[in-house]
Amino acid sequence: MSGTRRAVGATASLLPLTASLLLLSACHSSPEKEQEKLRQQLSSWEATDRLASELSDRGALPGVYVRQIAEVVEQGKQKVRQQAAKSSQ
Amino acid sequence: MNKLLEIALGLVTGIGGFLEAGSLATSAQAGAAFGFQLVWAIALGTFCIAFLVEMAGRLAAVSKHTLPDAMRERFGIRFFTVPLIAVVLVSFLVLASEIGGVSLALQLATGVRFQWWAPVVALAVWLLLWAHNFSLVEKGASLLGLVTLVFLVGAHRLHAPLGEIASNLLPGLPRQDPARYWFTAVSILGASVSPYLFYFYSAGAIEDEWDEGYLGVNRMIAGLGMGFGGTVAIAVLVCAAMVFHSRGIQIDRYEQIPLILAQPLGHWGFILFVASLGIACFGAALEIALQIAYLIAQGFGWKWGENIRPGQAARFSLTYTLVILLAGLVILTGIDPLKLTIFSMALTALSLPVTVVPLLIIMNDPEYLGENVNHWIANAAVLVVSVIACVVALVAIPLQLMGGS
Repeated sequence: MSGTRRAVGATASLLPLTASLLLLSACHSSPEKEQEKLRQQLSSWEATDRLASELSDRGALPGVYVRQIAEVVEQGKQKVRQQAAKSSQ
Repeated sequence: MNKLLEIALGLVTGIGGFLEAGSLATSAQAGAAFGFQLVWAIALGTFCIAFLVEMAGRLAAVSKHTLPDAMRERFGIRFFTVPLIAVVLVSFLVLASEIGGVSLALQLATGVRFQWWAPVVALAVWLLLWAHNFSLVEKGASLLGLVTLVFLVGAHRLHAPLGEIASNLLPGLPRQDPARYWFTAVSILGASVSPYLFYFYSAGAIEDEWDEGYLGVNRMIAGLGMGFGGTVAIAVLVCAAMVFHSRGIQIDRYEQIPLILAQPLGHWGFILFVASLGIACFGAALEIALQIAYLIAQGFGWKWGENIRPGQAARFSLTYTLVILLAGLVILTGIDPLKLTIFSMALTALSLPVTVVPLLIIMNDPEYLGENVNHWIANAAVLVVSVIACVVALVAIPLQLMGGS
């Protein structure tokens, strides 16, 4: 059991360090950061669309999947636009 | 010769059984969002689960006790209900995620929405458990699970930079989006150190009637099997990093993930991705449903066993029937399987100390293990990883829920 006690001691000394690092790294989300996040999300969906089209042209994707990914991309873009409109109000 | 066969089968189980909805989704999300930065989280989780699986197997081989059995005996039924509730809850959510994963694979292949597949998948899982024995369930699922090796082929075709990947094996601080980075890291740890893996393994060792002669086999299976399994998870991260991260694509929906294999492997990449997702999640769903039933039956001292007829272990069979039905219903509601998977994994990380500390106490008790008690290195490794994962989860989950950056 002395091994377990030693391990508990080592873990206890690591906890404050881990918690402090996390709290330091966590910061409040400003409106600018929110806009930047939405811009990244929109560009991610556009990049998904481009990649899917490129692979579809190469014959790497079946039609049933191409339809699904197109729908998902459209829903994703729609959601980002709605969030952008809400945050600009 | 028999032992060699056991090792080979154990390795296949380790490789084929490691990847499931949780490890696949968390590794892919990590690669897409942070490139190779979170390779360390998979390595750390694999290191920890290898120790835990080895302990669970050693306990079964030496003491002839499954983990829940030993916990109930050592701590009493009142204390045992705490890890019991924690493991059953997180395992139930993970089971729903796995049923969601199979349903998603069927949606990708057919175009029919995933929630309509949930009852079919739940019925198939239940039928297999009802009609077949443990060996077929465990080994059959793991053998088919070898299809997940395709991610290694994908990473090879993408010319993965091994040096850069290796340089991320040690933990590092995030370069951007710290809340999301730590949340993804704990989700990876939760997916890798899933309690169902070592609880199921201990029940399997009892079903296969292991004794002390199996300690070497157990060590090999735990170390190599989990090690290879972890390598496949790293390959998923690498494929996502090389296909998505470089293009600025984040993973918000399961439907995006097939592209990480279609890019390097073309049409076959898509087909093999769908097969990997479906088979890996189906295998995991079988194991988790069984593990929940094992846990409850062993904990309450009911008759249990996948090798006996359902009628002879009625409460055990009824338990897995009910959890499969309820998990299928969760997916039928149309809940987003990716979000469910990621949060299930983070909650798993949060619950780790509750599930791991009682195991460590038993593993240090000579009454159960005799001279085979834990070395302090094993205690320290598992305890440090579990407690850190729990603390990070405590901070990262609320931050992620609040949309922290």
